[in-house]
Amino acid sequence: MNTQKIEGVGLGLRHCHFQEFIDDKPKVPWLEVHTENFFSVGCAASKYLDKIRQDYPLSAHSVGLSLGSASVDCSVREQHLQQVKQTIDRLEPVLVSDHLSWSASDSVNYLPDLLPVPYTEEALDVMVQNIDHVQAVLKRQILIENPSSYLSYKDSPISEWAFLNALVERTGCGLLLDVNNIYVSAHNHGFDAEHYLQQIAVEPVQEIHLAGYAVRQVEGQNVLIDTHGHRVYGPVWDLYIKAVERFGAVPTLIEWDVDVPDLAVLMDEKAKADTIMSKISKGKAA
Amino acid sequence: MTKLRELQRQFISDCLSADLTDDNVSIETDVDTQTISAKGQMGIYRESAIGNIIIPMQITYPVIEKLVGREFFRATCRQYIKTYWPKTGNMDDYGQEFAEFLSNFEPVKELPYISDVARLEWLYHESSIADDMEPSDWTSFASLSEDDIEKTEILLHPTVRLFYSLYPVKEIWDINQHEPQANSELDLDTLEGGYILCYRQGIKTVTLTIAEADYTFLFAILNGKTLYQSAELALDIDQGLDIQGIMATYLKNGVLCQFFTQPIPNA
Repeated sequence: MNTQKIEGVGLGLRHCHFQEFIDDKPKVPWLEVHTENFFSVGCAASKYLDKIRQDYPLSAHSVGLSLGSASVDCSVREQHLQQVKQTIDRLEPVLVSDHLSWSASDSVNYLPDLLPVPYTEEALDVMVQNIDHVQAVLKRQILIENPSSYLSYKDSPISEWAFLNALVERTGCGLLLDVNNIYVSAHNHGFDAEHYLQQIAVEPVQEIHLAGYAVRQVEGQNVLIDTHGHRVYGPVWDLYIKAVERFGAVPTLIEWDVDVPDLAVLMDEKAKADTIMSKISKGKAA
Repeated sequence: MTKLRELQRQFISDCLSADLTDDNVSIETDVDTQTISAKGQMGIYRESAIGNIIIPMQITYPVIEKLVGREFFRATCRQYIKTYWPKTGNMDDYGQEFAEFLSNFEPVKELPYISDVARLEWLYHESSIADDMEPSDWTSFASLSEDDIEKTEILLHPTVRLFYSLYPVKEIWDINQHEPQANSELDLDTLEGGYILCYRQGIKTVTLTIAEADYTFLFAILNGKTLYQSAELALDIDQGLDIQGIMATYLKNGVLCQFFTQPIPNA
């Protein structure tokens, strides 16, 4: 059993920074890794990580458990879950997470993306069943991350925040709140991001994500896309301030997956989040 | 079938459809289309998924990308993806059929070697992610009886891959490991193909050109021949082959991993 804790602002560990983390041991309290990148025990990435994790607690973030899949044929997802389990048993992360999304259906194909779930009672039952199963196999709690989405279903009567709160109540899972995703989805679907934050139950939130988005024109509309390829934008920082005010100094991650810059840029983003977290914590303590 | 299950089947089908038009989006009636059409919303996911597939292809096939250029590579991947969508969520599994695809891909027919370069890159990728295996204690091998040596079977390290090409793919692969330099062109008319060994040492995956006799020896071992049979096959290729010498070489670099004086379990 891992008794480490993660606190403060961590970074997403990417291949191009492995050597720096081994040689220079930059001052970062914890790191997040994509579980799927370390399925192979023998690969160079896993060997680097074995060294790095001696100095840094980990959060393991999955993208492929397809928790919103209603398919009956679960063999692909079951195989994926077993690989996640083996990797987690090896890496002993403090936190384990995946998304409110799906990737695989009954067909033989797997879409490597976080596809949107309609927020219905049926989908809630499916997610609850799948989360229960994953937690039983992994023998631990997982966190569920709110997604960015670019598509609205007509039949989606439950709000996203109510859906997440219901998942917590029915499965005992925790939440990973991606503040950038809230901003992106609020823009794309026209809801109030601050209202969203206020509706999320406080206690289950155990990790926060921050990242940059891109703007794409689709049929004359500006659509925000969660690319993880840019610095965190101003309005997302503003929303993060509100999040820390509500949820406290929850461990926060700077995510950057596309065109990953020098570590100094990530450290600069981390410093901004550190400042917000510490100002609000001091304000609350005063 | 439940409503959600059917919706997800149609969603995937729409995403994979190459000729998606405004008229044939099957989840049209399920999507709120007040600001953007169902086709437009589906297109965002389609493009995102394709982008998420191209990234691991770039990681697995960097030499192919260099040879054909970034944009051509992306366009080629898009064609490949139409036929070969991922089957699992582990993207390490994805891309195995790319060499075969390239061998029938009309736009690269002027590059007859490209399929073999892709084959080498896939083997390199497989070697990079293969499991480790602890070697036997080979000190006891020296004290084996003649009878035991004759029966001995060997397991190569799980990262070992063997490859033969008519084309000088090792030279093409080597020259594309670095930024282009002056005089770094290859004369493909004079260079010949050859035998290639790929394996991992520590965290580094290595590719080596090896002699035909070495290839024959290792290939025979890989295919379950005894040490004695493998040596005989190699000696057929090169009667002067120093079997003890090549065993010492491939023991030192870890290619020969475990030995058994009984048939290998589950072999």
